[in-house]
Amino acid sequence: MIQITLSEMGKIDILINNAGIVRGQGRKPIWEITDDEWHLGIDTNLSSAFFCTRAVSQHFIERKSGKVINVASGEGLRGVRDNFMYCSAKGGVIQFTRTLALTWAQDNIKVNCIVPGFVDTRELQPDARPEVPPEVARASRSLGEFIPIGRLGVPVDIAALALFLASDASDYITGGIFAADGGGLAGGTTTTGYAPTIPIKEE
Amino acid sequence: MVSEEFSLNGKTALVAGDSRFWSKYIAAALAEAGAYVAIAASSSQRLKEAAGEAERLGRKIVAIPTDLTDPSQVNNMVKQAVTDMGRIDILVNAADLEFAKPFLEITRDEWQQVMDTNLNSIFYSCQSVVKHMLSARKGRIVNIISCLAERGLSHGSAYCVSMGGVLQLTRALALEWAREGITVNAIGTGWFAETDRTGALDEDRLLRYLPLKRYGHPSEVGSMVVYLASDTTDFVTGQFFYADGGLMAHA
Repeated sequence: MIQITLSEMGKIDILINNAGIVRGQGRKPIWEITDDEWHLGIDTNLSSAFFCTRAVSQHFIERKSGKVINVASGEGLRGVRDNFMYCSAKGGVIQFTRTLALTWAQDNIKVNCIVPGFVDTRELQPDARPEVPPEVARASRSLGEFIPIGRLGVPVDIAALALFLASDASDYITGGIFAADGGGLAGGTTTTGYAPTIPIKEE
Repeated sequence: MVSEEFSLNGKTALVAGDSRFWSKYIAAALAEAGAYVAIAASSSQRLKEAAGEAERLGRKIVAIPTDLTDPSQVNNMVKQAVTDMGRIDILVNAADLEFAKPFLEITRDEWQQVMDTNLNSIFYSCQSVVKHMLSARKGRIVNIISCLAERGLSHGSAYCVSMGGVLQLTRALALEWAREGITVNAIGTGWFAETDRTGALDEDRLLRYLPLKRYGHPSEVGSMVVYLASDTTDFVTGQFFYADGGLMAHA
């Protein structure tokens, strides 16, 4: 893949590790997860970033230039019940980012990580059902209530951050973990997202 | 019974109390672990409750009425605690004034009162107590704060700021005194109540937000204070431990 890209484009300035699957996860208890399922989850969400980065690494080092952008998830910072492979792998992506950033800090290769919140990617899936099933619509609505900004993310919310991290504007930034999550990670300690009014009690 | 590693036999502790419920359970836990405990609070009711809780465990607590927002009273509190107990090995700051209001409606007085109680009082007590700890080249400071030191909450601005301030004070002081034998740590509390309120919560929301599906009881913070006050934690400093039923791992 890297060889084809190099012969087509001549060089690679930017690598975005964006592979991810959630399919089949979080649906069953840990003892029912097979080795294959575990490896599929870890390989797709974490090892793929390692393989792609390794493949492009010498090219970056030779040119003393490069930008790596890893896409993790809020679920790499917080746990989700039963979601073992996804959470473990995305947490790994965050540490992979930091380790790479330190390793290449002197080589003009910048490594950063995007942490998307809940993003509605249906527009990118042409085979998705045109009609939204009511249970999905309900889930989306309650998710919207939970997200401080009040809506799900759209793909361009993430793309804009990737553009910034790929551009020269972010040349001093490496090892950073950047969330685009509608404020979700900023709060989350109460059921409603806001406190009821509590006056100061005089003793 | 407290196992030997965590025993506080022969140690003295000062609990700078709160207006909620932490101090009486913390004082009782320290006393149960063997420490000689003084508790300071502005409310005589709080002091009485704490003394009662300790007596229930067959222990005695020194009560020192103090307005913790007044630096001269805090100095007197420390003086009296040293007079009564000989020295102060352990300082627990449990100040916790709950307050929430839309930001634009907060008056300057309210803002000031929240900062005075939750943040400034800890500046006063640390300054006053640590002079004694420095000469002993050993000391333990445990700050009881909220998980809202790390997360925002709408209408909780003043409270969040005050708690975040104490967390950063914890980290900075831990570094400042790291080579003086004084450790400084903080405990982040989640949802706590003295009585079981589980039934009062909407079940869906409970499932969503509280992994352990129940409120914590303040005594569950007391046990963590004993751990952080014990000799087993000489290498632990500048840390923020959650006692939150899994809330911060998840929400």
